[in-house]
Amino acid sequence: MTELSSNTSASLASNVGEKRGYWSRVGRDGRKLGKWFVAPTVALLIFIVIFPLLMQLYLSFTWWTPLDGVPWYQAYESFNWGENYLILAYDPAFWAALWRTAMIMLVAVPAQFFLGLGLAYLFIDKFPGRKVFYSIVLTPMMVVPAVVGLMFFLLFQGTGPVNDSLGLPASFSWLTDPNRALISVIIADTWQWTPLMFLILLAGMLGVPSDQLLAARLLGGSNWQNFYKIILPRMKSVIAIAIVLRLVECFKIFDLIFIMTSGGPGVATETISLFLYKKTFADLDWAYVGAVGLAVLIVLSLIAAFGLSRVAKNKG
Amino acid sequence: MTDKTSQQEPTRRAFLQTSTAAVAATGLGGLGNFIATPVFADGLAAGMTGGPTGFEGAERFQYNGEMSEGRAIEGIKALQAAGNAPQKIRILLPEGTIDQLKQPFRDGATAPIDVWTRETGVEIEMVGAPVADIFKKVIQDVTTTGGSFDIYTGPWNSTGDLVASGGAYDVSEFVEKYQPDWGDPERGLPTQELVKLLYTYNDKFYPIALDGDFLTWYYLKGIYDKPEVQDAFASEVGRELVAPNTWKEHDEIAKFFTGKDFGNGTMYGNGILMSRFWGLPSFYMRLASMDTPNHHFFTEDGEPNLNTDLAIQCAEEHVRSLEWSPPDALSFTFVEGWSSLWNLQVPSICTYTAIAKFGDGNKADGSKKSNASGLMATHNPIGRKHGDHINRRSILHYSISGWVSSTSQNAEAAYLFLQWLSSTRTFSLIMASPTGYLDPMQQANFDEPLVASNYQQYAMETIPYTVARSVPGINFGGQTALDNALDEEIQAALTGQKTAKQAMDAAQGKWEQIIRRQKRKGIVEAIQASRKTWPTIVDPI
Repeated sequence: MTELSSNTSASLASNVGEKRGYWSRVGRDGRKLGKWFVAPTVALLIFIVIFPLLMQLYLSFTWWTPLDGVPWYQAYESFNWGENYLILAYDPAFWAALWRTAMIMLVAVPAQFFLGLGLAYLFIDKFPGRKVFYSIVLTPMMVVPAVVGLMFFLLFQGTGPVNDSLGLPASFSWLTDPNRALISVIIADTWQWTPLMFLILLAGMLGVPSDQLLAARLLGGSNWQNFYKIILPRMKSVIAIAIVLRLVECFKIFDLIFIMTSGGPGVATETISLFLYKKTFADLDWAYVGAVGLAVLIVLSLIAAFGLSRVAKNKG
Repeated sequence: MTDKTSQQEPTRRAFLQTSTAAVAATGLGGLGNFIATPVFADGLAAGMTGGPTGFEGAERFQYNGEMSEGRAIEGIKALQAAGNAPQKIRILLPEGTIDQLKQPFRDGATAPIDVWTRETGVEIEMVGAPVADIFKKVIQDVTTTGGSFDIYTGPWNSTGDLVASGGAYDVSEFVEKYQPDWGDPERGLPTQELVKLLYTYNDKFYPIALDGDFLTWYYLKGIYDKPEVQDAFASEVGRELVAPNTWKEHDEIAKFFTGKDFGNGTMYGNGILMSRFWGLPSFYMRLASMDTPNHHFFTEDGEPNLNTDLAIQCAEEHVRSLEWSPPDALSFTFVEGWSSLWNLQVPSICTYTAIAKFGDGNKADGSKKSNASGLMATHNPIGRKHGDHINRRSILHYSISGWVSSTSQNAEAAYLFLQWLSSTRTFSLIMASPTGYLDPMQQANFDEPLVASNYQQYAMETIPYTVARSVPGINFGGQTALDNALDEEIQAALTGQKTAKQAMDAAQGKWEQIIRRQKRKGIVEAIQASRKTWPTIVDPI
């Protein structure tokens, strides 16, 4: 019996060992196989992400333009040791475009945040027609930005509905006045993207446990205290994500401005994207665009990294 | 360059004798590929071997092997016989021009492209692109060596950029071989300078003109002639109100009309475009007339000429004229500019000649095309008095041209198609179309009644007069960068962000920088070649 059992144990152990060895082999081979399975995707990712970046980096160290009459891979013939980055550092047009972009971000995103937050708070509780209003509030977000651009282009004409309804003369120009043109763009962007802020923030608010809110109410907490002490702290991550998302999108704003003002009057509404567009297709200065593009990528990465670190910190 | 033999003008009687056959030919057009020669040839006037049929006056557009179009057709047939002709030629075109080539100008007529296909069997595939984006697509195709097209089209101003990029084929050998009639003094452009301007770059043939965007002055003569307008002008300005000859007179008239209502709502006196891109030629033509015979944009050495006293004075005048413009003038494209005139909001505009095609006269149902129908007229380009003469100046700006792609496997066939399309008979047929924005520029176009019915008889003398006095816009490598740099500064001055002097100084600096960078690509030589195409005509006061 003992012998039997020891044999059985040995046999079992041996079986288990074999099985472990088998699964270990399978695991090892499987991991190898898995690597082969994902290899095409990784290769594709490298091709569509890394390759263009390297190409951009390469071009940014040259004077190459399509007017050179040589293909881009021969750009090394006009290698310039990073002079584009030096030009970029002292290019007033670039810094002015960056400043205008920052202005739009700093005004439009907070406006969208507070409006979105207010709207989201209104939509926490059920009320008659909530679904209909919900759809109405979300509508601007669904409109193609180019169409929004056209709508606001027409609205802000001297003889357009905005001046008519405000009783302003036709000579009160929105889109051809350098300051008012930027304001018009911010208004249009806020109109379109407040709903996205609203949607994200509403999702965050609805995620706050209702029992906590109920308990706070029972303990005599006011609406403001509930909002400030319970809802807002629990939404920090959502808020950070919403703001980062909008900041990054706002940094890239293009179609709206392109339709409304084309960056004008003069360069009064020329943002980084329009600056890049002009340098790419009007000036055909593609090497310089490579340098600006990389600088922009770094700025956006820093914004995103900062926002996401805040999210991680809150979770931690 | 010109027809080698005198043109054989068919008589109306000869045409009538063959009209029955022409009708039959039109009806059987769909069978053209099977029984091509016998059917459509019956619709041709005596001595003609090709061209449109099926409408009264078709003989004026027909040709034979002695003519430019005929040589192109025979060239294709020779290529076919040698097995070197393609089945299809692919062309990138602005969307708004496709119907002008593809649709018959009236029922029963033959569409230009159908004539080509019928006679050669070579299919033309037209790929449309928005006019504002077309050159971006061209450059994309060139830089990716896509080779998607045999023929590119786009703004004439982009010729230098395309040549520099290596995207355009030098067609000089084909021009020599097939002798187009572009420079025929009777039917084509009146001077060799104009041929050089529209068809060459750095003394080689690259662009093939398919458009005549020589900005021409249109004004509301019907309003000028109103007694109450005449009286008001006389009492305010102290002279008779007539079409202006000089910028000074233009500005006086602009000031007079601004804020007044002559029964059509408040008017603004300055109708010329002032906005970014569209307003730039307005500035250029004013600048060109600042000196006699011209104020060039560059010196003979290729140095920018933007911060001279005269250029600064010009910028100041240009900026001042904004106060007489409609409130949103800084955001107007040419469409809003046209609408302003059609809605009697401005008294005049200097623009593309299709403004009359789309806005004057009556529609097919007899209704007016616009409020300006019947009130419009043209006047000569305006300039500046210098001693006992005026240097009237306009500008060639945009103007769609065709280029044979350097990557085309069918360069000769592509050229032959372009020669056929741009020769004076076919091009006149294209101009007969009520659609599209390819505009006339050849003498044969202006002599053609069907073109006159579109573009209005009153413009038929003014346009060639304007053509002869037009300076070229910038068309050498770096053109877009140069235009943008100046444009930005002018807009900054117009919006009060800079004074005219600051703007012109800044533009001068930017241009110098661009020229420095482009020097190794032969920009100075291109500037010198361009200067040679400037007109020197001045007119007595």
